[in-house]
Amino acid sequence: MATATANHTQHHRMRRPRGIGMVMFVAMIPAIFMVAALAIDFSRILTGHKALVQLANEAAQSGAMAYQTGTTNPRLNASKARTYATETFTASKNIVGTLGSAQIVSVTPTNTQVTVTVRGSVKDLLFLDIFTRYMGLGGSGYSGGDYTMTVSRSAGVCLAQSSNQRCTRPDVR
Amino acid sequence: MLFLLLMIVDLGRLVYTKNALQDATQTAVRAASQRGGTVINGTKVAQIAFEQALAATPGVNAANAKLTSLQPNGVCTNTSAGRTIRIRSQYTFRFNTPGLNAMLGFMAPAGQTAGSATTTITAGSALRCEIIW
Repeated sequence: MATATANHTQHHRMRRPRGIGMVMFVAMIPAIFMVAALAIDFSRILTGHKALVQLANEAAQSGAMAYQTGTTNPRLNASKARTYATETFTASKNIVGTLGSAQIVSVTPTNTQVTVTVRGSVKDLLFLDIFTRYMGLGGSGYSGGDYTMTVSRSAGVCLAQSSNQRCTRPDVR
Repeated sequence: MLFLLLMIVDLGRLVYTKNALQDATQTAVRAASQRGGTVINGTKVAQIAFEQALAATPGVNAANAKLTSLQPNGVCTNTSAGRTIRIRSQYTFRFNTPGLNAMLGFMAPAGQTAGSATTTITAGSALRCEIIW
């Protein structure tokens, strides 16, 4: 019985075309390199997006510190909010790195909230450029090796302030 | 092929660590902004917040991270340099596949010897002081 099974297996092995393993190996090499290449570019885009979100967050949080003085309820001074947001954005951009370029699109203050929209791009995505040129895989925001993203973040004014205009949130001791 | 797959895993770890470092740095900046300085009455507000944030992040060795620059290195003051807190940090990242990463230029040259299996990840964050002394 064991001999019959062995013969059956051997028969099947003999019917496989010779060299199929080599063909599969050669076919898989470009596929794996493609995955690796995309992983590199995608990593850069993810990191760039994270940096852009941080820039928008920090600018919005700083803008939300522009308390209007002389009012009963805490509210924002729109002009100061814009200045604070822009100053922090400039400071952040210089030390965050990661992005090829970044700029503020708009700073929109209301009485109690600041919304900051920023745009930035990740430069020279060489691998993704190859894919988009020859395989048509480019998404929106992609152009000539650069990937541009736009991000908006908002922050609200602290509604619990002491008489000296300092925030008295419970988490600030 | 195995090395290539390991390199992809390394890339994933690199991005994860970079984001964790960025988050921890931002946490430090926020804590310092809310308290009105990076060091207040001898208490290292930013350093403590940074270490706590990293310690709460799985897969990241807090011993490999440090704050490299604190501005202001004290309390917030009403000057152009003192109104905004700027913090920089760095992390020494060890690759599983140093050879391939060196070949592709992922090794950071600054402070590293050729062929080293590590690279330095940097992060930075800035925020206006919420309390100015």
